[in-house]
Amino acid sequence: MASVQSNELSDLITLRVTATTGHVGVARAAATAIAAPLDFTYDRLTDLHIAIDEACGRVLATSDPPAGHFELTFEPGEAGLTVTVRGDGGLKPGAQFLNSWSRTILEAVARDIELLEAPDGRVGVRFRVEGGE
Amino acid sequence: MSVQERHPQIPKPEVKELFRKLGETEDPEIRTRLIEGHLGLVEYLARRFAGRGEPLDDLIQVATIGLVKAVDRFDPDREVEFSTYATPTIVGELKRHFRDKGWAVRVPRRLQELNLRLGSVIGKLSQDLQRSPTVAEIARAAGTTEDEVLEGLDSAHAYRLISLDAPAGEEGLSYHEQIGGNDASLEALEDWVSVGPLLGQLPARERRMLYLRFFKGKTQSEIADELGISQMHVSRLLAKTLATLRQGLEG
Repeated sequence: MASVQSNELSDLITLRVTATTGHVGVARAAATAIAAPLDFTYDRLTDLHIAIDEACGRVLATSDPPAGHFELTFEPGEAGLTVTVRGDGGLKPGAQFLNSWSRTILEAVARDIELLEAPDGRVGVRFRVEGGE
Repeated sequence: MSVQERHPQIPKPEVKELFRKLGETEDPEIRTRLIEGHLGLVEYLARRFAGRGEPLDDLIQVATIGLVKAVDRFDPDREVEFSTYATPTIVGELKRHFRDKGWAVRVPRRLQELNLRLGSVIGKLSQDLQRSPTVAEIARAAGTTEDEVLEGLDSAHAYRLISLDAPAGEEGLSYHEQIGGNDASLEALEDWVSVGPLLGQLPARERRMLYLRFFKGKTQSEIADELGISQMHVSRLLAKTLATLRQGLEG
């Protein structure tokens, strides 16, 4: 269902979880556990959940062939938690990974939003959620 | 006409006497009199559980079951008043109702109770600190560990959402009725091309939450204050609404 790797040198944590709506909760729970020691407030934790829900939702909506897994990385830092969310499928022809609505949502809850495109065609998004008020 | 007026409270000495007679005769009329004479207590206790997503009428019914059990089990030879004996039985019935019926997905009882407690702790801390609390602060105030708080917060997603047509308070007005009419800002939100038709189908309060959070940049705490509901409730409603929109856009 999920695998987790942690690189102690950079504190980078990677999580690979089956790409289904039901498994988004696993990604959300992992994010909570990683963010809580960074003194995230309750509001910011729920913002982090919203951002992860949205990014995983876009993986499910835009992948063709369908993604088998969500691949997430979490990088804790002084300015909050930087998260990368990708699927391991391709992008549907003509689809945008972030449509205007999902971009609006992400911009409200996260900073430094960056679309990612790998040479093999996999797409995803990176964003940072700040911990405090 | 209030419950008290319909079914006047029975004077305490008479209660003892009626229970003694009931024990001797098992007369159903005496049993009914004792039940009806304590419906005021039932309503008083049921109201203490109002505003948690269950209609008051249902709570009164549940509490009445607790009262009937208490009447059937009370021993008049005990040195306690019936109302003292009945209160924990009625409250127990109400709590069991929330545990068994209030959760859409089976969540361990320990987490359900923790989750309900965290809701009030977060609300109080936000007031005291004038900002949203951290997990460590919530854990300290709730007298539990940070891991427990995280578990409790995650279990929130399993909580059944309150129907917007369900009565919200003692006045029996639904949330829809309390929210009021449209305002211009909501119309601006509805112009959003990709989701416009879906937004139109949302209840007014959900649209307002989306507008305040994603277009006005209000925090969930600020939205909770503005709408007079808890932060946890705002968080649940926002997550549910976004999931609904996501499903609608993809469908």
